[in-house]
Amino acid sequence: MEPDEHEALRRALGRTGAEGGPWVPVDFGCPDCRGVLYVAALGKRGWLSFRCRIGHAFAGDTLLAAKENQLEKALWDSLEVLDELVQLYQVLDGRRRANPTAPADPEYDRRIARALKHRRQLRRLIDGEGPAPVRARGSNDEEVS
Amino acid sequence: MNSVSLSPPRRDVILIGGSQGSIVGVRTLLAALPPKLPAAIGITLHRSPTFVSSLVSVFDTKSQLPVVEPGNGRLFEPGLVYLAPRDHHMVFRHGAVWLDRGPKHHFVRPAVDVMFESGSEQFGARVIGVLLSGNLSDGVAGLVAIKDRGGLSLAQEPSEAEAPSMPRNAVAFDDVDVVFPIATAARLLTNLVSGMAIEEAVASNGVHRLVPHQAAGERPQRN
Repeated sequence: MEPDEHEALRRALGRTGAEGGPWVPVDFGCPDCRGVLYVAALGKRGWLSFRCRIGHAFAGDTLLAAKENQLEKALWDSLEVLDELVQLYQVLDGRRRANPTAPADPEYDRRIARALKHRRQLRRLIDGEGPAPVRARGSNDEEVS
Repeated sequence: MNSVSLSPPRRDVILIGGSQGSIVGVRTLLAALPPKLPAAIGITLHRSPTFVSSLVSVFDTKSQLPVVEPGNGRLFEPGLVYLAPRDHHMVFRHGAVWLDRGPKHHFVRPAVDVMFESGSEQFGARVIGVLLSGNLSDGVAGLVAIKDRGGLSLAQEPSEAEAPSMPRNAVAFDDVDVVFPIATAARLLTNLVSGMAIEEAVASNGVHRLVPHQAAGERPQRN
């Protein structure tokens, strides 16, 4: 990295990890900006903190929540694109059929059928998905939050 | 025990963070804090970025100290309670409060961690960090920073918190000095600000509970 990048990164990340250890890049994208995420273990008990160069920050559990959100968004995005694909195929296919000189393309029908099937599967997947629930409180303090 | 005891550092910055379930705790605390308390108080509660809430008046009516949402650059002084406004992190520089629309932490702004870390950087051992009820774990990294620089770390008793996760994570991952029920918070903070050592204020070391209406030792210590 160029010296300027080092400095910018150091300022964005602020504190170092336990015993002055460095922030280590991890293989996840920042949920907020998709930049490179870094992790450090803070304090005596290694509290994990994730930060990106921009300055977005997450703890382990808030990163989980963000990634669950990201997953759901990605699934709905895929569903929406499938819808658009089906519509587009149907519109173009319709115009082709309306034009007697244009060749028919049976591949379009097959593609539409596959897309509709995948859309149904995706929708079932979305319905069955969901993050791990967190219990609010038990009868004693021993449960894991 | 040390034969020579150094007087504890001046503690005159109280920073309080909370999320779901913390409003009632803050109201109770502010109603009982003495108006001449020689400490500057900053509060960050998670709040909607767009809804112009009446949070200030919710607190101000019951508080013995006036509660304000500070403008940028307002001096950070005892006698006022500074509440982080919507959509801005509250940070400190040159003895003043600044509103920072920087990157969100944990997808929220204002974030407790940002206020805690900034306060720790500016005021070091003078800081008493207080983490109240809330989901997930905003504030834990900030409490670690406060302890790193010699400040004190306090967590609300998780079993009385509507959302125990934030204080519980603090207890698990930070060297929390005191776990306290809200009913005792004002007295505890007043004692700490007056210069009482933490040990004196809670009569033993490490993580422990102040139990109202019971003497220390009547109930077994729990972690």
